[in-house]
Amino acid sequence: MSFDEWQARWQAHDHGGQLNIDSDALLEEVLRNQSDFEKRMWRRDFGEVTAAVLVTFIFGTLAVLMDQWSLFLGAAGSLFVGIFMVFDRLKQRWQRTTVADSLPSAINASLVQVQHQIWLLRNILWWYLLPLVPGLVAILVSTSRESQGNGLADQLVIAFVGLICLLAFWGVYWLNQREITRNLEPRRMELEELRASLSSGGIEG
Amino acid sequence: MTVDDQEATFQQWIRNHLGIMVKVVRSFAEVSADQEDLLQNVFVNLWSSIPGFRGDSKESTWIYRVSLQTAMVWRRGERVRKKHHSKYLNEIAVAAQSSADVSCHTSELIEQLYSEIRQLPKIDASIALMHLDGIAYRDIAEVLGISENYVGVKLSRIRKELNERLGGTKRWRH
Repeated sequence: MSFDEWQARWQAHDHGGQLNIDSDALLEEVLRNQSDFEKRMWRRDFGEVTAAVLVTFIFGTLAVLMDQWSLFLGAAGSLFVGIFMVFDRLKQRWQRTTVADSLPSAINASLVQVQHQIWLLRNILWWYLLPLVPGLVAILVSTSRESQGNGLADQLVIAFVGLICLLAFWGVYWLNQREITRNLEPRRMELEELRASLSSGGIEG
Repeated sequence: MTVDDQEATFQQWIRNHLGIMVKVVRSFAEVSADQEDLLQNVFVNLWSSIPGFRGDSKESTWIYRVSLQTAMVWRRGERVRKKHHSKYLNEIAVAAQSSADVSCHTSELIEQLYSEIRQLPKIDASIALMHLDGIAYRDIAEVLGISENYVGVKLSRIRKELNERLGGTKRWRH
């Protein structure tokens, strides 16, 4: 069979004809889909920032009521994390590309997003975990000092809490690094290959 | 552009060019659940793209651009968009099978072509798809953001590869 014959059969075939689509229902679903997506993104951002603000508020209030300097450190750490997340989300929204952009720019935009995700997760120690450490250590140390007269059991409990916190931090770090290795890096490589394919074709305009 | 105009354009594009979207979806996703997911993404992106369409290119070229853009960055399993009950998409799997009006042989050939296109790298699949539809080199180059020369070079390789895969008796004539 010649290519012309293949092509003729391909073009004669009604590829979408067997789909029975109610265009009104489809439009309704598209609009709902788009609205739901944006709401979910907004809820996710709002949720994360709200959590940080709430923790800051709790630490800050306790710090004032109990006059505990260690709690101020905890509030400061949470506040830093919250502010960092707000700036990061806002920056990502500004950089969002429109659908009408060219294919190379759409691929570039996806690549930038993935590379940013990788950067965020790879550096989670610096912007998420470490800022919380001073407050946490200060709380444990001041609690330990206050309970020194109460015996060894209290000290052991505090040490145990400290150990749990350390394990939790390590777990968060490890999970995020695994996400990079399993999903984000392969995705980045796939997009870079696509970009290289287009680049070798001599991008027009 | 008013919302009413956007809605009218969207519905008109679905009526006239659904075949393009289905071809792209079937060329980039094999399993029907993935096809449905990708098609939903194509529909949403198509809707969003309407205000940006100035009429500089043909509608079909624009729709190819949006569909292929969506397919290129789509990733299997990343169900970012929540799956609503898509009663209108239940027939995607059926569309892959022959209808009463189409011979089984033709349907098998078409399905074989889809299968081979899916095995190509994404850029090559896009070029093969548009070339099968008879789209001019210039338009293919515009959609993908590559040069016409490169389209020609790629097509020679794609034809050769598909010829080898589809068997010796089914020869491509250049």
